[in-house]
Amino acid sequence: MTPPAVPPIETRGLTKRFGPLTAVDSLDLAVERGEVFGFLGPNGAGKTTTIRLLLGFLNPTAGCARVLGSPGADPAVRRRIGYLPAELAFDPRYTAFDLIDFFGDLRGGHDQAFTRTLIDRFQLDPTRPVGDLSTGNRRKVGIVQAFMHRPDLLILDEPTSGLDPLLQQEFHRLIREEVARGATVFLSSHVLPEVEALASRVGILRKGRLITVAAVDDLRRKARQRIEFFTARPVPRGLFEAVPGVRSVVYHDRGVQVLVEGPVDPLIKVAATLTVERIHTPGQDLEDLFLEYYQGGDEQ
Amino acid sequence: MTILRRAVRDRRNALLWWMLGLTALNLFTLAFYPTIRGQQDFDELVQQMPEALRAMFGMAEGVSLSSAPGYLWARLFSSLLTILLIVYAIVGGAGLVGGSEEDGTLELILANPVSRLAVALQRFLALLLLLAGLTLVAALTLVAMAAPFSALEGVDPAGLAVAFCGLYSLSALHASVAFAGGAITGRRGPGLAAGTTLAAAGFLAQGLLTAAGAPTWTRNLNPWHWYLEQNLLAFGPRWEAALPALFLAAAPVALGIAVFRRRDLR
Repeated sequence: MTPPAVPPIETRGLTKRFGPLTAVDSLDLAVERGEVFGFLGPNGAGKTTTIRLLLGFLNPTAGCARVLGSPGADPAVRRRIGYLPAELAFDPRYTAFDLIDFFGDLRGGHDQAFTRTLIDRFQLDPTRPVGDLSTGNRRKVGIVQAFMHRPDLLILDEPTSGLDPLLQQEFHRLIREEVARGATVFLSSHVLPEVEALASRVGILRKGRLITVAAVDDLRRKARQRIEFFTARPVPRGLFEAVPGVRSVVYHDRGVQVLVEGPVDPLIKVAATLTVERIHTPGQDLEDLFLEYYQGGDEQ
Repeated sequence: MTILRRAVRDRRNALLWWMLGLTALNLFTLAFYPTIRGQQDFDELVQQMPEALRAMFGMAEGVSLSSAPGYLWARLFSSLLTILLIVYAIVGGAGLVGGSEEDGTLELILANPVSRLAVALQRFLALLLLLAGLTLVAALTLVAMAAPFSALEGVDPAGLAVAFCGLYSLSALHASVAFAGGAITGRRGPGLAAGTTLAAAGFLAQGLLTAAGAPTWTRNLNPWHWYLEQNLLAFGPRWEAALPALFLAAAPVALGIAVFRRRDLR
């Protein structure tokens, strides 16, 4: 077992350049044992490149990466990792059973009973060649092979793309169970609600750089809220601009839409002077915050 | 050995078709022999061909093309049988690492507790086994079906055995070069190109250099020459036809694996 002091994933100054392109730029990351770490970023931010560096598929241009205390190229350490790639390429002739047997052999055995439960839970027909399966079903095969040997570390790259919502729920339950068992999960995604639902901490990657690492709760606290007041009469211009925390105001015929950061109390006090008929609060999630990070709003 | 077993299993069905194909080739070649057997004017026709062409198709001085050793050597060992086995070897070799990396299946395998060295080496060994099976079937079916056509008359048995060993060694060498091309680049194309270049250059050089009377040492650099230099069926075994190419195959394999172990996957 890994001593508790060794983080399941640790990178120091991890850098990867492809010619003139810097795909990953001086990444310092430490994922703690037993957590779900959300790795967020738009497509092309360098998430998959980071994962391929972690697993030893790529050599870093500079810096280093360790998984479970060893380089990812070390076969012994890979026995304890479950990997679900973003783009699943199986030999189309394999059936799920073939694949499970083959990977099971390579890993020196797998938990047979658990594997059967997984197949049942994801309603997978293990006797059909993978080439005949739909994208969603192929994804299920990917999930089963990643979890079947009960790894200590799960590296999941866009895990639920192509899964229907019910199975996404099932997948989320599975992750929570594995974490409860003591596994660590590195969850790369560009889908925010998924990360928000599962992760305790997130790192946000943009153009190869880690912009921030924060607890999801902190981000939520910092997140801006969009509040729309529908009023009986048009709102007087200039009413909200000076209110603390207000970042933008859009007036329209039937009311006003305000973007506010931090506590909304001052805003509500001011709004109380209006005849408010209805309040609408779309996007109370982290979407706006992330969009801002993605677009580089942090650098201004 | 999981990788090796899997690699053999993956290619099992294709191998059976290849075996069937080579058996058919043997049968057609043998069945055609009685119509050629002892035809003097056929030999006269051959004598009028340019020497390069004769050398290229294994028509040697002093061996009649209408005799069994001359006929089989020209029709099978200097042409189709060799070429087909080499095609099998090149296509197989290029796919082992380059092909599977290109289609994306290699990465998921390498996420398992298995080293790149083990994957590459076991897969190459698997191809050597498959190639051995294919060569063996070609040899056995030829011998088994020859009698009704009297097609082994005057064929040196040891020479015939060495011819098949040489065929195997030469194919293994081409497999190794194609393997290296794929393993170094991570793509199938360069593997196919490397193997095909060796095959085309070696085969053509064998004919042309012999005809042009090039110095012996230049011809001796060519693995095709080791094999084709002299009709093994007529003049008996030569050790250099059977073994050196097989040992030489280790070099491209070692080079390919050395690069593959260190480089980035695609």
